[in-house]
Amino acid sequence: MIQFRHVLLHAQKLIIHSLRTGSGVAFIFLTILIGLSLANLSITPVELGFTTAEEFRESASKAIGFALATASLRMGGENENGPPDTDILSRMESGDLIDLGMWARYLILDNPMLLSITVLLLGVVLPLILPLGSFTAISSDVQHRTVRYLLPRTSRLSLLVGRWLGTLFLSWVLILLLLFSVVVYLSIMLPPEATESMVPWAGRCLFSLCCLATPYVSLGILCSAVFRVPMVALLAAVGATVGTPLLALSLQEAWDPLGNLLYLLPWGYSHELLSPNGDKVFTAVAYSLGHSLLFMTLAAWRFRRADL
Amino acid sequence: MSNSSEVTTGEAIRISGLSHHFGEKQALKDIDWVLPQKGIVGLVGPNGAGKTTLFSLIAGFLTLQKGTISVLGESSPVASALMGRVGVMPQDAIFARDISIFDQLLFLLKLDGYQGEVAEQRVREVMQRVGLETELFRGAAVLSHGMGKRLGVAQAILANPEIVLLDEPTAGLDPANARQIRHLMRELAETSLVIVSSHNLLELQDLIDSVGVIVGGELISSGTVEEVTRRARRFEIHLDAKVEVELVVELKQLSHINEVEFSDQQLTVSLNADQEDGLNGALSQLYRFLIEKGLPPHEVREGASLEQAYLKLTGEDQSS
Repeated sequence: MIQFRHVLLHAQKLIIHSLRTGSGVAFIFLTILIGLSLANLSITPVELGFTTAEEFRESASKAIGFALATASLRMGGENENGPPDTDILSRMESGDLIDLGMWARYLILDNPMLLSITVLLLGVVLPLILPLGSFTAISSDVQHRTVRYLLPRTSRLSLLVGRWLGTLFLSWVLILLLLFSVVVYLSIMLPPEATESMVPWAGRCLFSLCCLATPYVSLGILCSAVFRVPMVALLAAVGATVGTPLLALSLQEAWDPLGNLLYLLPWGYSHELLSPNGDKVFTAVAYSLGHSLLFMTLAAWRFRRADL
Repeated sequence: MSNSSEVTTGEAIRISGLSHHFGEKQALKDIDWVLPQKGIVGLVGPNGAGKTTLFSLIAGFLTLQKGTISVLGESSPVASALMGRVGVMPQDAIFARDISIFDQLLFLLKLDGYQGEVAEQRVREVMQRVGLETELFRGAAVLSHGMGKRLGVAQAILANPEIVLLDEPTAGLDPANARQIRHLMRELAETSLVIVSSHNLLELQDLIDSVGVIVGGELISSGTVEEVTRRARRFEIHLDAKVEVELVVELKQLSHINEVEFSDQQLTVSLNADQEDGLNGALSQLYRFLIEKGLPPHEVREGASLEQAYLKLTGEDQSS
């Protein structure tokens, strides 16, 4: 059974402990550093004069359109009777994939391009960083047996949910700080008029990244609850995050339906969190919550039966 | 805060048919044990006998495989109604090294239901009781082994629990600190049940009210110290004359005599006090026999300490 007061106490303790011991602060700084590097990477071609702003916008639009098309078609979204994926570029040019073209324009032309590119890159990088903030949530206390001071006082479920809530809150704060840093950085680099339109788009990106973070934090908590050695928990979380798309895409070559393995993690739908289509966004958010619920249910099932 | 719902049966813990295994290894075998609501109960046994496993099952660290444990009337040791009513000092748990002891204990006390200044005051009181008040705002990293033990005891008694489980609480403590902890246990035992495991049987003999001896996962003996030691009662009897072999042979045929050892003018007799007339009957029979043989005891010394009883029960007296 869950005691709400205990959940809040566990969450509060995790946050304070992370900040006091420096592990949380180091995690936040590392992530912001990576975020700023990505923002810098997106602005560098124009800044160094490799290309003009217009050429860059056009290339970025094509690249993002191609990436979205690849992701959508590979996931079986629109290719049930369509030609092979190798034809994506020609299909885009012929106007066949008009929805995806509009989607790319939505990200590049209708909204601040550099912020969109940075957030899209973060969508790939964040799942690999987030386990760093969650792998010790349970496993560290189990390894050091500190959990034995807690068990006579609180239910295992309260402990698990509290630690999840604390980690999730930290991750969301991290994403907020990350986007804030990126917006400030881009505002310094870009003309002043570009800044205004960046703020509302940053809000939308914040929502999308927070939705994306939730299942990955839950996955980290699941690994932390299953493996009692923190480093093993970290390797399991990162391994699953990296291994799932690699496995799914390589198996898909052998048999197309195996590509659906990608849906074991949010890789299959996470890009849709930034879709201009409200229904797709809603579906992606629902999938995110479903994944989170599934991972936490598995974590609770395992943790309640574990010998601690 | 400690919930003090009454347990009308007069027992704090009832263990029935408890078995536990780790893979192929059978750690506990069919244990039945009933523990009272107050007093100090010792749990003794050789290394690997199953003491910590039993502790861990009572505390809810391990999940039950077979059998039942009823704690304070609740059918499961992890029942929500027990939260904060059972204090546990695990043997090998450690505190966070880089967070102040005060903050860590305050957090635990908040889980127990205390809040605000009452909680802060309670932490200070308990730390004073274990003699660690000067370390309150330091991290656990600065504590010695003995201080760490005392901190473990402090967290176990924070919320005035009705049951306190202490796994080797005085191991590694200097005599003064060990005495302080023993004193604390006696105080706690006036209102609570204190279960303590220890290898220091001489220390336990004077401390505990009852004892359970666990060997190879089986509870081979339990009861008051008097009851347990009586089952293996030994007497050293000094005579005025040399002990003859014929006397020993006749002595061994008496119904209350388990074993006889002899040397020169000394007999060491192990009495069977489990019969209906108990220890008195056994001693009467022995004295009567010796007087009839014209060998009245010159000096009789009872040699059945808890340690001797333990060694006998565990079979370690023969191996040593």
